[in-house]
Amino acid sequence: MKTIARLVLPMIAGLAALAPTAAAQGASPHGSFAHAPGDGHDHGPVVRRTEPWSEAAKHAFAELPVQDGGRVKPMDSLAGLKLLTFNGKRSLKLADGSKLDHRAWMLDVLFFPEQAREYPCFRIQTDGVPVLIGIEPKKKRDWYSYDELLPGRQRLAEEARKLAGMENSQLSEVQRQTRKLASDLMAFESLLGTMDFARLEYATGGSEALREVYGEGPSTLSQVLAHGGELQRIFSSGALDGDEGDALRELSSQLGFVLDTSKFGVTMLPPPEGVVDTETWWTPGDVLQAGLFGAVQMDRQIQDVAHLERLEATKTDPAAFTAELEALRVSLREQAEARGEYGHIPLEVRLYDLDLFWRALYVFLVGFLCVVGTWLLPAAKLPRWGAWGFGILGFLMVATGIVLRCIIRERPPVVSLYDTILFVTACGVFVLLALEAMTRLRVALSLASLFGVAGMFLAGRYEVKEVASAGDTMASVIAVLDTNYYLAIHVTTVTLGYVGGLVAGLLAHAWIFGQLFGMGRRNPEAFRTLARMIYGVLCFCLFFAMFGTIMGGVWANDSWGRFWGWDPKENGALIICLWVLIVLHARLGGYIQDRGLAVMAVATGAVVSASWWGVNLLNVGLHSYGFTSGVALLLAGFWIVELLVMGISLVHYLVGRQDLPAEVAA
Amino acid sequence: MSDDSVKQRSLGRAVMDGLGSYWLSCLCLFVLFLLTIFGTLYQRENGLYAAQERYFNSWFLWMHFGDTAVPFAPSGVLAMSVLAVNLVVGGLVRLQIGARTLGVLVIHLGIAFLLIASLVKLRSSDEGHLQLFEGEQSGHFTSYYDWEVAVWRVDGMPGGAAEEAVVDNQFLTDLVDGRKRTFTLPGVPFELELSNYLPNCDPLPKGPNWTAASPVVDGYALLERSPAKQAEANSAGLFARALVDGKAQESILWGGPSLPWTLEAGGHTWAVALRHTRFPMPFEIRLDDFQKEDHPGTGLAKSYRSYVYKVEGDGEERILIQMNEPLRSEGLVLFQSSWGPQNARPGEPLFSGFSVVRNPSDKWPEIALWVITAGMAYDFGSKLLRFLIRMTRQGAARAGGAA
Repeated sequence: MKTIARLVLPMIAGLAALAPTAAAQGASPHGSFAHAPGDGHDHGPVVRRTEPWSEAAKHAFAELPVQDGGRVKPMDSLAGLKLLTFNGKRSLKLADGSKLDHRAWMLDVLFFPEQAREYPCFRIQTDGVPVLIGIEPKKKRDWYSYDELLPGRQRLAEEARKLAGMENSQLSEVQRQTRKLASDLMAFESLLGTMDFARLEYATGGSEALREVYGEGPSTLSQVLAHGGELQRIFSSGALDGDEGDALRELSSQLGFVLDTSKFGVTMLPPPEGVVDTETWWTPGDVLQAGLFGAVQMDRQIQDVAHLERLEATKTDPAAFTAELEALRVSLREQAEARGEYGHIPLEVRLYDLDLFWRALYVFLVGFLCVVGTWLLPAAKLPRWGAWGFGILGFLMVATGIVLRCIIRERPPVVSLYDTILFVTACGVFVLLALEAMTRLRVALSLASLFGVAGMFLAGRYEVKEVASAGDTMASVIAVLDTNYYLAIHVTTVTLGYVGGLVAGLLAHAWIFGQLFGMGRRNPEAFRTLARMIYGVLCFCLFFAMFGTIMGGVWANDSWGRFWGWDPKENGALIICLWVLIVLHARLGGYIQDRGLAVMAVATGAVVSASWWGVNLLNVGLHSYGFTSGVALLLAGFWIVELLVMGISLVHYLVGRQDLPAEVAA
Repeated sequence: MSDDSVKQRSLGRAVMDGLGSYWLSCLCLFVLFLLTIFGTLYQRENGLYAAQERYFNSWFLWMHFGDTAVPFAPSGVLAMSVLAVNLVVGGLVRLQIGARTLGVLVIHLGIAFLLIASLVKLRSSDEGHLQLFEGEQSGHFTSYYDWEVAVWRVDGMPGGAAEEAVVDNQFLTDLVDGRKRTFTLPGVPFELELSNYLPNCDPLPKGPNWTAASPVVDGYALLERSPAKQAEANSAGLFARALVDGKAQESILWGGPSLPWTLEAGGHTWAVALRHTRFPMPFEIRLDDFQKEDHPGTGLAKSYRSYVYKVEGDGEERILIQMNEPLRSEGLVLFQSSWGPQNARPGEPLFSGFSVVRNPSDKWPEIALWVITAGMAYDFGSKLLRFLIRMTRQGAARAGGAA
């Protein structure tokens, strides 16, 4: 059988190369760009969608299991992540002002590709990229459709090729965006090609040998595959002369086209038993490739291909399309369940439907408005209850989201940088609410909402970045991280250390600005309590940072063979410990009082940010899974603000001393 | 009591006060804080090894004025040593032990133990790697950074076995600036003079456009290179001269992929080679099966594991080594650390890479971790309790006032 396969595949490849495909356009991930106009195959007239997708169709579509980035996830997640990568949002604003959600967008990409190519779904952050690839730039940060970018496609591929193998840190902004756009277009082309196989009428009636197997008329791919063995025999007979040869050439050209397009689309079909790699799911093109080898029994996969063909055929009939989609979902669900890979699909769809993190941002915002109400109406109970209620609700929403992500991934809460933001936010809000419960000063209550707003805003911004670089916020982990024990203990505790440092810094801001505006004189006892809170939270920070740092060393000793290697990420954790130890010893030694403690706590926040984000920007060391880019300016801005706050406190202190009588100041 | 003894006591007290002071703690911690930051930034341009040597494994930071090096600031070893003294004096010897300070005492004990573990590791450990294809067996591992010159007889040894004489790394690295050293090695019938050590270099045909960093031998000389960012990528070189029966034979020795230098002496053929230091293991390791598993549909390694035989005498034992699950045996620890070749095509044989460490203080940090954690839990927990009691009292006082 392998011998036949060795004959058949090169033959198809060779015949396909002779056929008038679009190989010369040369820009797609698979060597040719198959979606340029005139790819040599008759796809029929361009069909446009005339009415919105029904909710039922979108729901069935959302729960289709697909494999992407090493894990099985719902189509809903894939669509959302792809659109987020291209567009920066999970929805799309069209030229006529209407909006398209990610499910409708993906349905259009798969079933109405000509229409989807017109959607302005590629956000380009700098007009240097359009200029570079020779197309007319719009505004500096603007959206482009695939068709608008098409004239520059070849040039873009060439420019991206020059940047291959270079680190992001070596690239200019235009180069980074060029590389990203090239990668986005390749991914988009792969999606566009997924259903190409179903838009072809396979020329199985052109030769006697083919007619004997397939009958008179053209066939679908599933029909072609149903007689894969006979097709192999016909191909391997090598009859290439005359009409027989032309017919075989035409069919092989079509099959070659499918291998060039649909093979790189969405991997939505579980593979059959008996193949070498039973873990990796298939695209329709993979089914064709396996069919040409003919070595395994794959009736179920051929049925799935037939399902997809019927979907393509009924796409302009909403009711029939929805029924077909539902049938496909049931079929794929059965197969995925049999493999134990469907379990968390509905939950993941639900997680993204709930959109807990984005909604929590608004809840915290309302909570903060209530806080403002408590400042304006200190005696009123309603604003205070509101601040508490919305603070707790926001915390519960974020915590629920984290728990759901843990269940879906079967991992502890913190695996990626994005996870750290969610975890820090939830724990920071919790710590502040707990402090408020202990002290009743309304300071921690005010800061809890503020912390929640800042955290969820940052999470929303960083999600786009992480998805663009890793493809998912729940991406598969590298081998060294494949240990829930150390992930749960080391990473979680180090992140709790970050929480302590940031909360202490936030409380210190309240102390400094409270003193600046004279509140400290009016209520000195409250400010002494606030200073004690800062001290206590610094102890909390040290406890978890120290435990997490040393535990990290124990992990490194078990995975890399050394306890401590002065790696940047290790050093980042160490500087938090060292700094907090300095603060606590300075306080114990009496070198600093409450103001000094507050100023140094503000610095602790800056040190935590350096450890959390700064060392990742260096892009060196063994913790390569934490590398990131594009946050340097934000980080530098944060440090400058923190330095200013410390400077303001120092100036305030010095001015205050000047106002004192000489003997008191001395 | 005489004035002198009072003065002596007060001087001693002042020294102890200074050594155990919070001020010194803060200073040492701050110096370490700065060293850690600068040492981290330094890695970006100069690599990890150079940063370790400059900021953490030396006593001073050195500034170069031409050929003269001047210490201008304390480096890691000095800062940590002073901190250790401060910790022992202030945190252990002079600490007034009571219920309130018990936690602090335990924390300091744990940190002291951690520092001792680091010292033992620094002074007594060997680190290296072992790379095996399936079926291969080895009884030694190889250093990442250190070099040695090995001399062995290549003919006439029974069974092909070769007893080696070795010149250790510590006798090589200072052979710079015209310094040379002559070695008489046991069982070797010639004297070996070594000089012109270069940490990273290439042997090239000597041309007019570059200055040789070593004497020219057979038209070849060593061209000095800047140290590689990844120190294990360095290829050292040196100039060797063998004095055989009063006659000198010369060669360039290079640590990169090259054949050993062979010469005739005492009626036998001898080989001389510069290579990474080899450490013998008390057992041999044979790779039976290496498995690498990717996340489906990606090139991202999900796991990789090696089934090895630990061969000792006539017996052998099959053992699994994988990420986060090393083999610990007879003072050695073997970690699954890498695989290759990275560009291997499906079906091509892969090698398995192990990091190998001999570290007497292997598990000590874990003990220190739990001691420190217990101390912190006690100290910070009791502080939190006191804070809560204070808050409750304040709340009660406020409520009473309001009433």
